[in-house]
Amino acid sequence: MDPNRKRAIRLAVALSAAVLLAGALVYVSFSAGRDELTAKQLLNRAHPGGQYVLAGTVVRGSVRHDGATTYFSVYDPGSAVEVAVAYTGIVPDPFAPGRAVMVNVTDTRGRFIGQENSLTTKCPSKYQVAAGATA
Amino acid sequence: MGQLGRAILLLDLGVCLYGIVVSIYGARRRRQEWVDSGRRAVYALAALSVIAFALLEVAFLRNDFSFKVVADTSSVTTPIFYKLTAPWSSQQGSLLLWVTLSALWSSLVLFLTRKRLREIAPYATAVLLGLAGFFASLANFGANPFQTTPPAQTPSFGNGLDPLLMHPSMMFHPPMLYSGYTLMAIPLAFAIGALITGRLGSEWIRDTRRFALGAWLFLGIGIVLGARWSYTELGWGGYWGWDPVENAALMPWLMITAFIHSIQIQEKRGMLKVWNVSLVILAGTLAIFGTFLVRSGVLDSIHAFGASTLGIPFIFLLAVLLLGSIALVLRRRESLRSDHRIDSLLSREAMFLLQNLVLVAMVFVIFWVTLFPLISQAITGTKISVGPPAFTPFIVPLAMILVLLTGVGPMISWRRATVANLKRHFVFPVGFGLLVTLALVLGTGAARKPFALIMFGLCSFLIASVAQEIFRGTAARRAATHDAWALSLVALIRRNRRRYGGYIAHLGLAVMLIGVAASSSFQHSRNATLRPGQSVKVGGYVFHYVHPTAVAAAEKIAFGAVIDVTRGGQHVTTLRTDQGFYPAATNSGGFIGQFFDSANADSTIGLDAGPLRDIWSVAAANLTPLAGDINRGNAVFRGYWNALVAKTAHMSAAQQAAYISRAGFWTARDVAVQGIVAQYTKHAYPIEFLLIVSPLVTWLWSGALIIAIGGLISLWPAPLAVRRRSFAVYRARLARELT
Repeated sequence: MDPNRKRAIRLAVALSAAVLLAGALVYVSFSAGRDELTAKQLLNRAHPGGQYVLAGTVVRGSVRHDGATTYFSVYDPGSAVEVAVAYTGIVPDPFAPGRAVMVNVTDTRGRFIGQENSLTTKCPSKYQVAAGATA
Repeated sequence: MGQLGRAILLLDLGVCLYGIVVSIYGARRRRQEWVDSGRRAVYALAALSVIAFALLEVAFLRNDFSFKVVADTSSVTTPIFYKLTAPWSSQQGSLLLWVTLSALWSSLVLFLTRKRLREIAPYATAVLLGLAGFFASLANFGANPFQTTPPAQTPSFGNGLDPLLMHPSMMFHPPMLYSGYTLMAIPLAFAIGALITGRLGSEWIRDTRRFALGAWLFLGIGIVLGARWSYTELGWGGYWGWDPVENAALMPWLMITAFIHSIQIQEKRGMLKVWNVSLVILAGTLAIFGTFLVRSGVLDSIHAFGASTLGIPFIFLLAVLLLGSIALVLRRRESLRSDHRIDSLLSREAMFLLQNLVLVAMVFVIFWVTLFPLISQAITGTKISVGPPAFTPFIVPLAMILVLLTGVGPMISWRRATVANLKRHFVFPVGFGLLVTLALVLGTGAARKPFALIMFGLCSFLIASVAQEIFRGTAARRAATHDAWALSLVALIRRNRRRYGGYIAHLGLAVMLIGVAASSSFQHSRNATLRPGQSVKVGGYVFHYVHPTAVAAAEKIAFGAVIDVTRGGQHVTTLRTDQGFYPAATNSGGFIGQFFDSANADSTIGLDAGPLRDIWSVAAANLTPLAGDINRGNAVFRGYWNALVAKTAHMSAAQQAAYISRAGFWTARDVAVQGIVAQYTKHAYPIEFLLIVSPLVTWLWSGALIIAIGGLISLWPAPLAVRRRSFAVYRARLARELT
């Protein structure tokens, strides 16, 4: 076969593979993802049985442990709205008031229940909050 | 000392600017003395930065809390080892470490190439100083490690290092990562130098290859240490979470992996010049991008900063680097044409190229998914959170193809493979891979997880291919020298370090991926709330909660549990896990409560690691039943404190403190704390456990160690005779390029 034609075919195959990969990636990203909501957005959108990803900062003084359940509130530094969460499961070590967290929650008739092992917290110290930050 | 530190940092910046100007001036005017002066500026930068870093270390060791960074990340009770390593636990110290390591590695490469690469080196010097200068600027004006507080505001004790960071691997992890990142700047700088000067042969690659390999090695070690820290310290039982900051280190590592493979094609056949230059630019840019992700807090991550103002300068640097590099590559596109073309898809160069494409595809997937929350926010107005489910459908198959190509690449012939070549090299490894797969299907339940099964088969193929290559090489050497097998093997590796170091790294990759596939596919995990005496079954093992433990030591109070693990009625191991509570720096939680603050807690896992499985446990202390005592204690001691303060109101602060101490306030407080701690073991409170049985996790760490050994072998300089031979080949190649 003509080497130029061969190269053109190879290029076409490679580009098609790249386009397919990119298309699949975009599709999977949107289909596998869940909206990451602030406290205010969550309260506006939540309906019973719905599952959401709540992101925000743990309200100082809101953390309370009762047996295996940890109760805390999350707020969005951009608004004064808070959402109370009841979370059961191992709490990651970096979890603390004033730190940013993400947690998967289920709306159970107005109460937000954190899914087991879904709580992630930003790391401290090396990752300390910069001067002037609100957290 | 703070003033001296700040002055040195400013001097650092001045030296960078001077070096950039004289290097470029010397290169443009062909004035070697200016070029040499630019190189010496790099040495001066290294010396100054080392002094600055030493000053910071001294401040930590002397508990000089007038330094804000010392007060924030150390305390009088911080152990010396962690005081020494605490500087890079802060933003400020990290930036200084960046500058120091960057200057040291740059000095080394410029010293080694001082009589070579005369045209490229000045521009490379300017780029290296530009990068170091960027970080020096951030350290000067963004997060200065020598910022001090007035004596009146200087704390007496310091906040202390976060307990989570008091882990040996965490303390070595950042310097390893930074070494990797800063080493990656070296091939990047020389590539830019080569593009500016048009000296685009293999010479710059030969002189920086070892630094690229060093970047690969250090970054790889840093990533694995981070994974180990996550597994043993963070209390979630995993070693990799596809967290943005983990991904930020993985992306440049994958890119530099592609580079150290594809440069072999350029060295051997003069091909893939554009590709190699692009790879090294992308690897260097991704290293900066990784630092940007960590420093800017632009993405939600378990690692990223809460907030930072450093994002904008990073975006500016990335834009300049990328746009400038693209412009240079376009300008030199004619000179970057390959000397040859790929003759056949069944050739080593084609396999290397395919392997490179797979690695780049992995980087693309990771980049996209990592940034997807930002991309989705830009498109839809809402951040869409994606986690492992978005990575695995792509990364798993790509990793499988990568393992296959890693096995095929070194065995297939250059230019064009023949049927005889394929037969000679592939019958045994393919047969072995199939045999292992079949054995796993028939003898285990591995067929339940097809992806893991395929990965086991492919890794077996890879192991067999490496073993075959090493065996054949050793046999050939033995036939020539009549030495013993072991001696022949050592001599073979010693004389072909790059090649056999690479094979050993491939072997490590196979071992590591077997561990990853097994532990991620066949892990059993369970959350359980147990009282002493209760049991729960996880993955065929029975976890029996024997009794709680409580230890009050000077540095922390640890509430834990003893767990007996049995299988089929036979004792397997006893695990001890606890949650340690470090006293809060302030008594805002009360005189008693400050010792039981969960915000200052860290977990010590109970782990029984074995060659075939890890049994892992963590327990969350249940302090609810102690809450009443803690609150009562707070009230009692607050009242006692107020009474003592009222009684001593007429005294000076020092006299007051001495009186309160003499009155036995602190002793009584300690006795009360001990009493509350003792309560914990007297009652059968329920505790929340996370219990995990994971197969072959040890293979992951062992594989990583083998990879590191392979990398070190490749990195180690070859014996003189071999070096001479290889230089002769390079000289011949250079002569061909010049004619």
